[in-house]
Amino acid sequence: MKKCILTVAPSMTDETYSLLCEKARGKFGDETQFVRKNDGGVIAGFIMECGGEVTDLSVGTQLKLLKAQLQKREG
Amino acid sequence: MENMKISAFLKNQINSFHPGPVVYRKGTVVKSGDGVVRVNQLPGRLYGELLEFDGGVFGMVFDLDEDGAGVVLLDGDDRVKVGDGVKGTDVVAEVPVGKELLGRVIDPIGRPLDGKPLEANEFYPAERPAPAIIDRRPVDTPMMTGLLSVDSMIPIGRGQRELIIGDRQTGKTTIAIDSIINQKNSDMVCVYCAIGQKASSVAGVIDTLTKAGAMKYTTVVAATASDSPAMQYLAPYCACSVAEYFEAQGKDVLIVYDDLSKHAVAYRTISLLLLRPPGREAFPGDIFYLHSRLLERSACLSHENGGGSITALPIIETSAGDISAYIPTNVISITDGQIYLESDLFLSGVRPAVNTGLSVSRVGQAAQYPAMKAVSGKLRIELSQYREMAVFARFGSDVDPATRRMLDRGETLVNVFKQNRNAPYSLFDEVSLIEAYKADYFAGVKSKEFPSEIKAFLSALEEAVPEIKKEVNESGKMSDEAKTGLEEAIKKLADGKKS
Repeated sequence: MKKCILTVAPSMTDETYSLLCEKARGKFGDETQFVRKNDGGVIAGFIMECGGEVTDLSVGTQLKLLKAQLQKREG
Repeated sequence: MENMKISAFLKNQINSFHPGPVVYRKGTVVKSGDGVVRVNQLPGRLYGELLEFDGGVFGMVFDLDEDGAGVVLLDGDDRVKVGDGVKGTDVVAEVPVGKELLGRVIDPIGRPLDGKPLEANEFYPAERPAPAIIDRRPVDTPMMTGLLSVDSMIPIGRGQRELIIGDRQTGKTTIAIDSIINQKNSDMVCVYCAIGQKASSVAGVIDTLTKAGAMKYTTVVAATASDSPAMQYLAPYCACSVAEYFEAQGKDVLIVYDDLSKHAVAYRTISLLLLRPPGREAFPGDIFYLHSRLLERSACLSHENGGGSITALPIIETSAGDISAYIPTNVISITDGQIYLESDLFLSGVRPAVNTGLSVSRVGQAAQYPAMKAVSGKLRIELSQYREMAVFARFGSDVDPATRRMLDRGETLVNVFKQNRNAPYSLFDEVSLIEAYKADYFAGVKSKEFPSEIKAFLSALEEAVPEIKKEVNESGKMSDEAKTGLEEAIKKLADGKKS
């Protein structure tokens, strides 16, 4: 059985979380077991970790990337 | 207006930012201990790449295989446990560089250790290739240490690698620090790299440099004894990258690695923990390459490449004077000469305790200032003859007048070479002292009177011939008229002393 960790913002509703799990099952299989982790740093969106592969679609990470880009341009 | 500009800049940046999913592989820690971690399921990493562990701890890839990597932690080894996730950063270890680093104290990955924020715009990787043969030129400019015994008999050129070797407590660091202090009135930039030293010793060095006004052109890169072996391993490479930035700007840089013995020990620790096969003295097979690739980065660049240079003063600590041990012989063979410091000399009050018989500079003579070259020619031979003869004289047998004179002159020379720490001489001072020695100015002066005698001599000479001092210090040459003028001034001072 595959284990998938979904890191989401604490404010994400159960309904949205269920929808997300459903979509992920389509990719990783029906047997996949999901573990919810709440992290305020995500802000919105999610980070999905499954079988060593991580897909980060969180607003927190995007903001970090934007910050890095701004610092680079400033330099 | 300024606010409008900032606002427009930010808008522009945000518009050009394209958000998208970030997809990466995450490995798992399967073994952790003594600062070394085994990571699985993390293929495609680079050698030397920084990895980020779940707790925000960073490590560096040291071993690679198909599926995972052997990683040494840079810090926080108590925060990494089996089962933790780890991801690659696609970045090899790098260090901030730039003129902002002058006067600063940083650790090997560029974190400031002096409590002030550091804002650097440029980063260099820790490991960089040495300049190609075609990009170099021969060493042709002197790097004055301000130490009479070194500048006269073991001259160092800009771009040279001169090893400072000796037992503990023989004044190795003092020679290096004096050399840095002596660059106060030159155009050189200095980097002092402390590897595996006590934090109190590093603090002492920084204090000395600050008091001497040398910190304003110096950067200190420190990995102390309490830092991880990985940090100690990285320190000299990062310090060299800091120096290479200035070299690329066409500047001459002096870098001190204090010391490479501890660096070798840190690398041995890492290698043994990574289960690499041990060789002689349990060092790994690539221990020679560890230091050769570092010291090859010190070079004198051709004028087409900016003409900058890095002069390296690596330090090696020997045990019981054994310079034929593994690491000392390795570094001796890599460098362009060595300054050998002897415990016996140090304890008998000869400081700097340079053993001229075992010390050599292979390329420095070509770079010696003409004024110094003209006067220092026979000093080495005279000192060797004195040392040889002094052994026989120790038996108390009567010696003939010629031998007696040789012994007296030899003793005088040894005393002239004695020098206080953190008190470098100018070129003129050095040349004058040798000239005075040659003219028997110091004949009959007792050993303990030498410091005050030398001080009085130099200040009297400065008053007598200020224009010659200026000429010699500025041009590095001494014209025939200046030579005659100096000889006459010394003779006058000697006559004044007699009467």
